[in-house]
Amino acid sequence: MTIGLFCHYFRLRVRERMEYRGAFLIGLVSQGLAYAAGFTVIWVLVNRFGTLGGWVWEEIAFLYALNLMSYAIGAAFTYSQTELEGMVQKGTFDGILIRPLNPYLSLAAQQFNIGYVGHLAIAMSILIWSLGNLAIDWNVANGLFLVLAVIGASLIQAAVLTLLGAWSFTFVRATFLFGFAGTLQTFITYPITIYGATIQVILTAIVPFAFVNFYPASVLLGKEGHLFPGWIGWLTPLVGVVVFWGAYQVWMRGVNRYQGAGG
Amino acid sequence: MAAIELVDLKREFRQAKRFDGPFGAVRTLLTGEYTTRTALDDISFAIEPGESVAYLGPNGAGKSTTIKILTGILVPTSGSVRVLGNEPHTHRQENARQIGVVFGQRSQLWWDLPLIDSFDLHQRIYKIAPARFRANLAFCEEVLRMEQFLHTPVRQLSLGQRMRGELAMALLHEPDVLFLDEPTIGLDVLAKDRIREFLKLVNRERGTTIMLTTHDLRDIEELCERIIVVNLGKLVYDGRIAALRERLGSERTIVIEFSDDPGTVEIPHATLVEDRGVRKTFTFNRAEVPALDLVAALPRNLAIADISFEEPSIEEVIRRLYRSMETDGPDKEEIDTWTRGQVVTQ
Amino acid sequence: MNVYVAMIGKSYRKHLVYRSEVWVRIAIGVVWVAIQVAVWTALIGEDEVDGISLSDMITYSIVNTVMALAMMDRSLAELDQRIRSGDIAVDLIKPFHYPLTLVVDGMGRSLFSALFSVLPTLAIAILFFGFQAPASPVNVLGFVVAFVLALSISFALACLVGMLGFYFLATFHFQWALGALRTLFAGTMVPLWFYPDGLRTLANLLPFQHLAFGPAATWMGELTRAEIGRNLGLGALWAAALLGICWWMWARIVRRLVVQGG
Repeated sequence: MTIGLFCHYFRLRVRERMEYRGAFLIGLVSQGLAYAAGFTVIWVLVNRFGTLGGWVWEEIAFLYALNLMSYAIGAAFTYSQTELEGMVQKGTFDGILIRPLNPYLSLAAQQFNIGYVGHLAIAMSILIWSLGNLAIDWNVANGLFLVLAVIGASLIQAAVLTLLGAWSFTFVRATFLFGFAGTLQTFITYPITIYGATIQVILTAIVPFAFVNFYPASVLLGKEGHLFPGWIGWLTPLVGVVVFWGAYQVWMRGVNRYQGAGG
Repeated sequence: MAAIELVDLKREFRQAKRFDGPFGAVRTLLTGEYTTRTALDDISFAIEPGESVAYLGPNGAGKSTTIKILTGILVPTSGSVRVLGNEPHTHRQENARQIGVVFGQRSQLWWDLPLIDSFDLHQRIYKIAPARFRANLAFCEEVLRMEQFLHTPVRQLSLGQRMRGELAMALLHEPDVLFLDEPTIGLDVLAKDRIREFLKLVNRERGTTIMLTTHDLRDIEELCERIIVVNLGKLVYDGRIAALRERLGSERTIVIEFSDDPGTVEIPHATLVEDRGVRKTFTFNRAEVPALDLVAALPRNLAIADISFEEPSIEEVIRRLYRSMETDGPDKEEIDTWTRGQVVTQ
Repeated sequence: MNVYVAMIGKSYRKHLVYRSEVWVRIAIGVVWVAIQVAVWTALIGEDEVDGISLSDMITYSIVNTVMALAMMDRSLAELDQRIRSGDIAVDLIKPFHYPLTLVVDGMGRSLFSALFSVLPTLAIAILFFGFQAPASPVNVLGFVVAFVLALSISFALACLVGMLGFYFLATFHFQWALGALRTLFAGTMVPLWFYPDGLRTLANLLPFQHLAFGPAATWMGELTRAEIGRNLGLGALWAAALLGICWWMWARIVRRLVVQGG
């Protein structure tokens, strides 16, 4: 799988979606509606109370934007994992194994999710708005870090989806787990310092969702560390790479399982 | 070197045990027990390059499992597998480049896009040189007559057109071995003919080895000289169709046309099957009484205008083979011994 | 009648097979409550805001989460699938009243989820976070009625969205949009008392408040008897109207299917 081939797949996916332009537009609208609603609820909350755990509205919006953006990027490649269970049951996954390509990349390319462009646009706007209203000392290092942090965060989101997809190879029913992962993700909508120590440890060391937005944001906003030292936010890109690599290994082992025990 | 070679191929599946009864649901919940099912039990055969082989068996016999192992999708439990010298499951991508696969019931084409787009993608995936790609495409286009719908979205194609597309795509990278899993299922007669003609051409002119699973016995008659039959995971027959037909097809049909309607006619050693006055059809057992003897024993006083013999169709032959695999009568034993003998000599 | 009872049993058993799912549902419920409790602890802490204390909000969160779990519905996604694939024709042929079978199937699932998701979640949540008893029997009664109304409205809305989706071939998107409106106007996370005036007025006009805020507030005794009565009345109107529209749309779909031959 080369980058050129992946881009070709991307072009094909766009053309495919455009065959159903109406549905695509409706999709964008309902996406926008859904995220506007969720965003508004948080606004209502913070608006009424001023701050939440010491974080003001613009800072929470920044968290929101990081979460949404990294999800949009990560899930664009790995939304296919949620469809894996169906593919395994119907036998369509065999079509992936027939090809002389890496199955993970083949799946990601073939089922690349164009729909998340809406998410990306919304997240981008909120990001720009919130950063515009926050007093951050911008320089080359900071700017580069932000980009790397978004990449790292996207890798974490992709890793979670990948791990859940790998579940489909071993256990027949896995779709409900995606719901649970989504619920875990809800924790990071708010600054994790409002939660007890156990939750913070889980979100940092076990399912590192906190690195998606809280830690990198803390570092850029100059927040002090609480349970964990303030500087661990700088590790976000590294965490992303490590976690994704691990998830990928598990997934490939899942394919072996499929080939050995499934069918 | 054989194109395809299996030695003592074994494949087992584990399934969670289901319990019945009022507490069955709860028991399923609590226990994690499994049952083992042997899908392939020590299958061995070799297919030489350029051969065109039909792989048959009743549903659940293990056909799909074999194809999946040969294409690298599944891993065998034990035994050895080689396709063009490669072990499919350990060299999956290498193997994939040299084989073509067509699933009759699962499409590999992009549903919403024109057929040509799937072909283009195929070229890029298999890194086919542009000149070769164009030549192969032109060849397939011409033989399968695809110009009219090459630019039509796949979802708008008829099943026959779609199958032609699938077939063409599988051959664009000039694989040495082509696997087909029920390629003519659901097609009308004309479409089936086209597909068969194409496969014959490809096999003849390009020497592509073909291994085909099918329930359509005309496919076999048209395309393959050799058939391999499996049942319940075991190899039951491996050899030429003619030999099988000769052995199992001991029942023959004789059609007699009389000058005038002789009324009811009795022929020794034969059973009346159809009576159309002047034209009567009988069956007899060739093993019991040779054809010539039957004719010699015909009553002298009958005014016979014409006599013809009919061979049993391959369908009838296979049907008898399957039936013998079900029942445990004397027939089965006989056939078992004989087919086992065939396997050895092949 | 026995047939339908048997179907409830069958639906119950069908859901029983999915063992792992049960633990995850409970976990999801507990996590939702935990998040809300943490947020309210950070926001309210020891004080009282607008007369609402932390323990009030904890009760609010638990009641809402439990109701949300009870209303989680997937049979309607199946309905849409079956309409689209044409399988629905098979269902319509059977000698059962199809919408009734849906309700019955839902009851089977509700029974299952009540035993295995809702009650355990409730128990765990109460254990960890504490709970307030209702102010009086009137509140309990009011809550029960409000809950039934919530179920009906939820069912009707899901039906409507499913059927609209069928016309536009965009069920998933419509459901998402419905979820969005629910999030905002039902007051699941943030009670409507804390909403700014404009949004509050809008929320009062829509049926969504009967899905979360209404029942929870009734339970907690934050509404006077008159308010409870008015709320229930309004809720009943919404339920009737939505179910009526559902019925009408269903008849049209059936006619359309029959005419078009699926």
